[in-house]
Amino acid sequence: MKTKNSNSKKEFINQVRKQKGLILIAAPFFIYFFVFSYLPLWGLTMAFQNYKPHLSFFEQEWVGLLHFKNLFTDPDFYRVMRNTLGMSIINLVLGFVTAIAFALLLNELTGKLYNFKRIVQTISYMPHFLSWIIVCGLVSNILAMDGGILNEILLALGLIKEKIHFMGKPELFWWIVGFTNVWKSMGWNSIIYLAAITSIDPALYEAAAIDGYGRFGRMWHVTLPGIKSTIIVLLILNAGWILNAGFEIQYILGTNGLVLDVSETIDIFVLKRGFGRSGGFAFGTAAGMFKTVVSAVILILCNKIAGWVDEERLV
Amino acid sequence: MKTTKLLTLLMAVVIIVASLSACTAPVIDSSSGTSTPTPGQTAPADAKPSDKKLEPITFTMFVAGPGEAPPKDNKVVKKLQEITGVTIDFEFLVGDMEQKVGIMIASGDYPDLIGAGQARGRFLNAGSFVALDDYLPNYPNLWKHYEPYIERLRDVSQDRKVYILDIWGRQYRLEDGEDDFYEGDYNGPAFWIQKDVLAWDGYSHPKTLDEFFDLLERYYKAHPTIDGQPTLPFEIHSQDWRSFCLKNAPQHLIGGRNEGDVVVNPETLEVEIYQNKWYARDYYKKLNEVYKKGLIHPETFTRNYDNYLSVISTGRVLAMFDQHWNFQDGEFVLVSEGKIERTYVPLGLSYDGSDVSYNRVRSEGIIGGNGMGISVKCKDVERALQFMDTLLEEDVHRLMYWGIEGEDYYVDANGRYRRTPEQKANFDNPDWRLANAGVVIGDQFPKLEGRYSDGNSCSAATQPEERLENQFPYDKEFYQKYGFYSRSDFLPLMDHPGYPEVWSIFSTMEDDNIAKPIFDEITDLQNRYLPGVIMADDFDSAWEEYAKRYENVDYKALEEEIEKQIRARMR
Repeated sequence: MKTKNSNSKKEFINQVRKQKGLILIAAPFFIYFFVFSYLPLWGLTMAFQNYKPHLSFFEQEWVGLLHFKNLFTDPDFYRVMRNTLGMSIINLVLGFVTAIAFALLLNELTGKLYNFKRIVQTISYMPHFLSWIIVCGLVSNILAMDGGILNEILLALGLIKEKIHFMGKPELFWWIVGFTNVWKSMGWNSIIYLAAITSIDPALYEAAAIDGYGRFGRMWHVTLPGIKSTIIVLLILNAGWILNAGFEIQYILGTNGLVLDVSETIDIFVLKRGFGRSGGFAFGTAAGMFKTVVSAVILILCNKIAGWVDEERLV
Repeated sequence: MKTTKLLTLLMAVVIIVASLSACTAPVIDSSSGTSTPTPGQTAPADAKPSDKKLEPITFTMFVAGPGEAPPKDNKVVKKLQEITGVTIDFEFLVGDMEQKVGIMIASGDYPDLIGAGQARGRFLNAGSFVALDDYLPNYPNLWKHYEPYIERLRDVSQDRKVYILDIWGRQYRLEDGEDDFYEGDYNGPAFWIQKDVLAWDGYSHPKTLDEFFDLLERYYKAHPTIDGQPTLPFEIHSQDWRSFCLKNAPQHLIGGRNEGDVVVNPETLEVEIYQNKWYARDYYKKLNEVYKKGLIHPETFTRNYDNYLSVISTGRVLAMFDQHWNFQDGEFVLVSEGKIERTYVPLGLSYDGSDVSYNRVRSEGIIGGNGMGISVKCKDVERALQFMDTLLEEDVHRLMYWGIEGEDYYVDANGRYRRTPEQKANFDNPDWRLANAGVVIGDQFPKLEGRYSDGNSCSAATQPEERLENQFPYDKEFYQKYGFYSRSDFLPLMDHPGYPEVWSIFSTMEDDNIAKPIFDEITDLQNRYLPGVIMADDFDSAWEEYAKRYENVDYKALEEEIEKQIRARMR
């Protein structure tokens, strides 16, 4: 027994010695992730304390699951969850549909129109590089009553009789967020589909043409099946982010009392409760922790589902 | 093999020891020379502050309020550097205060100095400041400045120590009956209205809410646009903590001072939350009525603070309920463009038409908690105090609030400080002031108010003859029509009721005080529902729904707690 133990010990040491180069190469990454990804997890203990910043860890009062209890009995929490999921789903659906449709359409521009395609593509992904603060400034200018271009156009066309107060209507807020997202990221998101389309065997298109399919037929029967796996992989990846409905746009455009009820996402909730209220660090941590756990569960679920539908799994 | 290993080990030990000693070396040095006492430790009495050499030092300072840091080549900032050796590296608040402060507290990453502003309570509760009780007596100017009010400074903290030094309120030599002349213009809450609106109406003086909105309506009909843009008769700013513009008017309409979110009965000291009382309801009902008449633009509720200032600076906002300091950046633009008739005067409206003074209260000196503190991370507490002590020297103070003699002001034959119209125009221009004056520094530190020992005002802005003579011709004529001297005269001067304003008590409460979560809840409720109530088609049902939600909050506990706190501070 003893000899066996010391043998395996020796073996281990031998192996370490043999692979010390590899270990040295891996060490910085190990340290990096340990320091920046695992060490901060320690802060999650706050969620179980009556946390006060000026006390040391050992002086904190432990309160068990109190903050989670408060969280789940807080009516605001259900409201922000509703907003988060609502805006997330709108973003997800609109984002996918528009990016895929845009990629399909761009892909049809060939031959003489190739340069035109490149120009359109460049213009369409430019907004991706604008910061949210600029985008929100643009949106509120466009939608303003006081000289906003959209109201002016609608009035001039006779479609409306009175100017619409877009930014003050709760029922419009989610859609403003959704379409702003589309405007900002459609071009960028379509790049990955365009890349996937280029890997489709041209022979398939020729075969489909011979079989008598037109442009739409080829799109439907060749291009879409060709990028199906890309779509599913991206869908899984994005589903894991379903609780990230965004932060900046809601925070910048939605802080007024008229739309506050529909604009607050869980991120804003965590920020407001955690940092905005005195003594809220612990509660904010609890809410953030809840969000992380749910996100992880959803990601694992989606991966499972992808396995069932016989596609490549991610994890 | 073995020897090399031993050698490596030895070298490692040597390196570690060497680096450790390198780290500790400066600490030993500093303890012999310029020691920084830890909070609570008594400063050695024999080390006279003035003995200190003026090696250059830079203090970082966070100010929990809006502002802009002066450029490095500002001549007064340079002068102050020469005199004190101190450079202040300002960081002014951008964005949401609560979050910025929360993050600062959570990380413990404080600057050397903190202008506590409205965040005083959070800093105090987080233990961010050094207690200054033992230090202050060593600094003659500071001690003279604060000694009469030292108990008020202590009242603010739970352990009754001095953490925050008030930067406003200490007045000197104001006892000869001309006090009013040396006080600054009224800066507090009121219904602020453009001078031109009153002038157009034959210099009328509305006293009630109905008269006020009636005047706005008539003026609006006669002037649907101003400078080609649509007129905005009444603005209500409602975002974040600045929602006091939305909420605070009812307490004044029944004759109260600005307590914040409660009304206090001055005799019985009973405290009452008022956002669900009749006088609030009547106010919002009136707003609802004038909203339907088009006197309130719906976008007023979706404008952020920058948008709010920018519409004011276009001169097309006729009136608003606000505190002057909150919108003065917009008004400055109007002044610098010469649109004096579009600047504002305060109206003390009331329900019964009686004269209400709003916040024009005779100064009671330092109130406590309204200032700045030295953080526990400050690199040299004594040096910082020394700097502030120097700022209270009259010569140095004059540099900040008057400028350089011969350049920014002159002394006339009678020994009075005066400015040429050009010097005054410079000083009135915010850009010039930022680049050439010391006000930005002075405003963040303890300062003299009232008069210097030679009888001149401590600030160019309050020198009486300056104010009279250099008043814009428009203003002079305007005030003369009313028999007034300045905009402050629109409100009567009231005696101090003897207890601090409730919002100031509130902002220094402990974090786990039961009143805090209740307060957060009603604030949230009000910010969320009141704009909707004002815009509602059916006011009564909207109000009822709001009031019903209000009843779900345990505001009685809040009222009791605040009453307790007020009684604790009455002396």
